[in-house]
Amino acid sequence: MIDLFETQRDMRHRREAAVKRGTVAVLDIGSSKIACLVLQFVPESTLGSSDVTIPTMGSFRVTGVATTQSRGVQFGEIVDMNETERAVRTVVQGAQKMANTRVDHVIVSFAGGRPRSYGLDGVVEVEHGEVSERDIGNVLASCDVPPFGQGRKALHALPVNFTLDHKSGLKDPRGQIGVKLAVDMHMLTVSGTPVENLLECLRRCDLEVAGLSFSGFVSGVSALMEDEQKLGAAVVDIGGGSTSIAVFIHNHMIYGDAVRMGGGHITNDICQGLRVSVEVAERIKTLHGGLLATSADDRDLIEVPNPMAQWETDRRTVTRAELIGIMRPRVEEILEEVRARLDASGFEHLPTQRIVLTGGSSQIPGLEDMASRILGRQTRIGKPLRVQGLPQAATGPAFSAAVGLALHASQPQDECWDFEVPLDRLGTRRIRRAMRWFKDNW
Amino acid sequence: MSALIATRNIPKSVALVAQQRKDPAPSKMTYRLQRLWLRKYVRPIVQIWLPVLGLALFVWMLSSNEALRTVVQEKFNDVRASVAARPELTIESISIPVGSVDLVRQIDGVIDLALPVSAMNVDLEAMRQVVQNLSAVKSATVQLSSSGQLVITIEERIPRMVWRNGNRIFLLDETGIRVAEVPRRAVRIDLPLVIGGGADVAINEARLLYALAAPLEERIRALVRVGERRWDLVLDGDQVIKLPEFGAQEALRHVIAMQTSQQIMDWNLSIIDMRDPSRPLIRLNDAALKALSDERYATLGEPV
Repeated sequence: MIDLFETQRDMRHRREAAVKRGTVAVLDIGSSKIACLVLQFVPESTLGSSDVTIPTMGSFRVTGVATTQSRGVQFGEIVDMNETERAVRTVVQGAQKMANTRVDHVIVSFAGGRPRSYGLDGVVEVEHGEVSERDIGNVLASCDVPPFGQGRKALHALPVNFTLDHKSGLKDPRGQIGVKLAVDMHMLTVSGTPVENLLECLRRCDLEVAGLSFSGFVSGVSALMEDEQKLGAAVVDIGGGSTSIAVFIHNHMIYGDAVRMGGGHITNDICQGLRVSVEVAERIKTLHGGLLATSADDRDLIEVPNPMAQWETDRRTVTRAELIGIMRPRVEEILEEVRARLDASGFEHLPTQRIVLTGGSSQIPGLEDMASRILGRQTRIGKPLRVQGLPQAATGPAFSAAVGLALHASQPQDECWDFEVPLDRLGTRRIRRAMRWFKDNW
Repeated sequence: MSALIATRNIPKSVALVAQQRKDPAPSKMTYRLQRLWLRKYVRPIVQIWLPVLGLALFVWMLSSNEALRTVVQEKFNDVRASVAARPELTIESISIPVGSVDLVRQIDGVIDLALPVSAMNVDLEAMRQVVQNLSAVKSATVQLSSSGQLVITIEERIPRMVWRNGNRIFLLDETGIRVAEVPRRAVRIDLPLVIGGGADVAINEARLLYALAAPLEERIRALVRVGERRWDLVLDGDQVIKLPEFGAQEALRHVIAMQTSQQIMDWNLSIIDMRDPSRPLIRLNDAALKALSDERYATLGEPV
């Protein structure tokens, strides 16, 4: 566990250094597209003009945006390192060119690795009557970690709730007086190999990773309203290769999971159902796709391009109802899987149970109705928050993970490793830390 | 025996079809170079310092190699000559639209151009300086007109006084600058005469004195600078009005007043000495002295 702590802590340091320096890139590696935003951190006062009041978040400005078709990624995991490396190079170069700055640090989100959530808790006696930074470090270190399996790594470890002498719901117990300090922590683990592959891929592109996030979590940061995050909501990020789920309450993620199905599977179904190529299927899906068939759809003919056609008579058409008939079962399957995961998470115990659908595939017409019927709760399509300098083309639901990463970079939530590690668990690493402090400051 | 997989020459068109969809990704080299290019210090180095260095190296090489330098010099001269030989640049005539005949002749003498000549070989500014340096020229402009004509526009100095200094006679303008030398004073009898060293420096005062002495105009012969210090106004009949160094105008005004009231200059005087303004002196001329002594002799019976 220590090495993970150290990696995460390194990333944290790098992120802080990058933000201090002013330029950081966020990279959303998905199965269907890779998006890169270059963020320029600026002093708050210089943001925008005062007479226009657009609700924006964060003290940064997006100066470069690039997207490219993802290659070599399946289910959010890298399966072909060279191809992915090329795609990352393309997208980073594009964003750099637009921003006209070089980026060295990237913050990455990904949806793969079969994330699994664990609730941890730890209890310690407060040392000096008043809760200090060290007590928090102690209580976080005292959490019982279940055996989450060989080769898995903790991606997030968020202290969700502190309890001080039966007084629960504390966010920051520092300075308060009590005897017994307890913490509830949410830990998200992913299998290590995809993460290592990802880090290796970025290392090959001469980029330094300054943060790694679960895409469902960052989608929630950008797509959920503030009160939804506070009162309880789930975000379902339906991507190209996998659908990530994150449950939020009290501004914290308390559950994260991923279904290994997404819009790419719908395209595949259309491919097979209509016997067309993937590109054509994708085009038909985005132009004519739908989920709720009406009687009008029986008469709505969609022309299917046929590369072998030579005569007028060879033209092939399908009705929109047919297309819906192909798409609908797959979407139902995805949503049912999502419902199963949500049921497992204990989502029904939250005070409000809003579900927000986001991600590229959430743009299928009729998904909202269908999702509310299958999931049994109020749903809406979530678009990411508006941030300074983001072009119109990058404001759709497909970019909620990228935008969420940007927001997360500017206002990071404290993770377990951001706190001081108790001395008895630190060992000889203090010298290394001192060296790093020197390196950071000189 | 033959190879398992035979090599073959793929026709170019087939190869083209094979790589129809070009990889949009930049190659690793391009990517790295681009990132290097985006570094802050790389751009000024490549865009400014490298060219400057290259240029400096080139110039140094050129200047250190004698043979190369002469070749370049010759080439340069050839090109320059070929450009200079173009008909658009030849000066065919010189025109001086204003100026007296004398001055024009003088200017013609000063600028010696073997017409026709190329404008590239003529230093107009130097020519202007030469013309400007002529004493009779107040200011000059030299222009090259499009029709191959060199136009010299001059503003002449107008002579205001004749100055005799020793044996030489000059014409002076209002600021005391010599306009020309004349052989005889009679050449410009219309101008007033000043005499003596340093008169040109005090020309302004001389003009004022001449203006004051207007009532005596017909009788004035000259204004004489004495000791480069003060003026004597010389009238005909060997009469001299000596003026002080300071307050000469006041003194002259005094004399003129006496002239208007008492016709003092019609007396038999040779000198009115105003050098001490509080105590004017007069000196009688020989005739008056003789008459005086005669009279005294007649009345007193004793010689003077």
